[in-house]
Amino acid sequence: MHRALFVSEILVEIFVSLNQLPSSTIGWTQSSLTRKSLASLARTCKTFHELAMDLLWAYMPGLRPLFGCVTRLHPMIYDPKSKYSWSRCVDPLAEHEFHQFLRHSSRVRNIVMSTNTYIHLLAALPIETCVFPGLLSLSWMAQRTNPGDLRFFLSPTLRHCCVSELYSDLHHIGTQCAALEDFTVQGHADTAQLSEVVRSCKGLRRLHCAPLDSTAWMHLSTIPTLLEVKILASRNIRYPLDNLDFATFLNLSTLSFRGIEVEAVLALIHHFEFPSLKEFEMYARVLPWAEAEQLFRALSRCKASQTLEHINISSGSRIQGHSGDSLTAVRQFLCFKQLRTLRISAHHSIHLDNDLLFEAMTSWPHIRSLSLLDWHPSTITFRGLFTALRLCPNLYDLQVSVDVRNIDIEPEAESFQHTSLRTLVVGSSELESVNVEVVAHIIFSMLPAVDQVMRASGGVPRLWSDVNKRLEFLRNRSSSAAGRRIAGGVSDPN
Amino acid sequence: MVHLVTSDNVEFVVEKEVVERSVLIKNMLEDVGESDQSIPLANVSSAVLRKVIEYCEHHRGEPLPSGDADQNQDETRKRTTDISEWDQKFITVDQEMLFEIILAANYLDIKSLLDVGCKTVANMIKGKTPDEIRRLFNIVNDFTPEEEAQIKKENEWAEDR
Repeated sequence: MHRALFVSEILVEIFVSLNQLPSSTIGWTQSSLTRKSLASLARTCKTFHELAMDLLWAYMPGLRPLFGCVTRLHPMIYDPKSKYSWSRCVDPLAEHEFHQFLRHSSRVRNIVMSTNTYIHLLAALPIETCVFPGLLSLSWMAQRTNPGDLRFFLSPTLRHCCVSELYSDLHHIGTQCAALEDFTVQGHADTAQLSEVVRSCKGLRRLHCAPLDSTAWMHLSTIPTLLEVKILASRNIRYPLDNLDFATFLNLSTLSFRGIEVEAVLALIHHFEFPSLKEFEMYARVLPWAEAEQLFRALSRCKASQTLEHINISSGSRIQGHSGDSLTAVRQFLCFKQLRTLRISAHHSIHLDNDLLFEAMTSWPHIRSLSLLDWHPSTITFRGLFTALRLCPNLYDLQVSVDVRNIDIEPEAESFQHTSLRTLVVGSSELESVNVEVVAHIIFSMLPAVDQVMRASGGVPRLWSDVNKRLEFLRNRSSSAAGRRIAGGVSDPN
Repeated sequence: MVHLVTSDNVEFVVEKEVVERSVLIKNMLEDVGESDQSIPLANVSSAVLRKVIEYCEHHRGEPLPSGDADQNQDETRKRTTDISEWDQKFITVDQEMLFEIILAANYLDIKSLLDVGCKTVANMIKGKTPDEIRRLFNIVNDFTPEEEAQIKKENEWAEDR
């Protein structure tokens, strides 16, 4: 055995590399191969044993391996003949059995509880304290959990916790797990109970959960480590936020709301400052015109105009009898000089013409993705589009309405090409009076990276199908001509 | 230029930019300052140092992990699963030389070279049984049959899929 294999830091590098090697297989198979390799290393020699065991047991796919290492329970769990006997209750673990369990559970760093299988065996553990002293990450997706089951996992070292619902065991998670950074509660939760739990957390970095009350929001504003808050309401409930004081979320960079009333979001934006905000996302089931306008205005006035890079606002369905006015979103967002992404899909038309598009692109030199879903015919023409595209060389994804009936440029006379744009999605267009050949030629010659034009709804109606066919023909003709030039040995003078 | 003297007393004269891929030597040079004095490398033979210098010359100019960025770059390095084609050819050596390069990379603190060497060894291990690993690296089984059976039993879950 080479002396290099006795150097602990070298051994760590080699064993850790086992987890990161490329593989032709994916998912469980790859993971299984790594486990088998680590299990082999653990049996190879005493020098390898402890490190291989630490790495192998660091990631636990449930409780089966842990109870399986208790001699008395091993046959119950692994013997196919007693396939269902593990479902019986078992006597509490004796001291030496608990030691067997603890010897392995102390190696666990991440555990995923995806089913209820074996959870009832937790009752066999003799003490009611944490049995995972080094646990860093807990994913608890098991259903029908009994009170007390989770307490075994709430280690002071826990940093990431994702649970399927708000269990009573989590009441003091913030004090029991002082190192907690990421906390996700999926599904609906009582606002008062959830808020109390959140108020116990002092060092959060990311929080994903159901709606919180005012006191929880005020508490969150005092956490300087907080980077991301995502609020998801699974039910259509009113979400009052009274008694909010003015406060600053110093380092918060991502704020996301799904299924929340606009009124509540407005209350938060009006009361709080987000000087580091980079990403704002909002999805409402319905977004009335007046509320959308209020939201845009509030966003444009919040203290994030120098930092906000990504805005994504959408709604699920159209409101009957909505206002015929266009949204002023583009003008409201001109103040965001760092904007990389703007996506608005709110079932209202968005005011945009050649001049405003030009002004927007002048204001957003870093823009990479612009998606304005517009249900009304556009007044943007090809000339306006390409004048604006000159200002945003990084744009790769564009979704706007272009009036393709109005051919106001001569592609043969234009030398401009936008080489970054890869996805071009157009709004609805009238079928009549469109010169398919010219439209395809404009896209072919000025947007060389666009393979085909998509429609906002995802489909390709006949007009765009015809344009895309023509586009494909032009591309094929161009590449075969290039092929002929190479085959004929004629070099490109450029 | 920097003068390096190996364990078998061979002197190498190497460009500073090349040799500074070693954090150990870089720190030494910063501490001592410009000097014509040779740096003794008591743990590295001339055959191994020749290979290490070949690696450093090929990768000259690439960013080095340093200071606060250390942890992030470490993460990036670990996430990068591919060994480049040149590195693969470079590390295709006999097992003795492979481990000597790993030892030298560890001693000289050349993280990217250590990474290439360790990934190569990990590749050799992947999917092998304990017996195959022992044969591959000439390792003596120091477990009793009972101990080995017990470990196998404990890790049954890892082998049963």
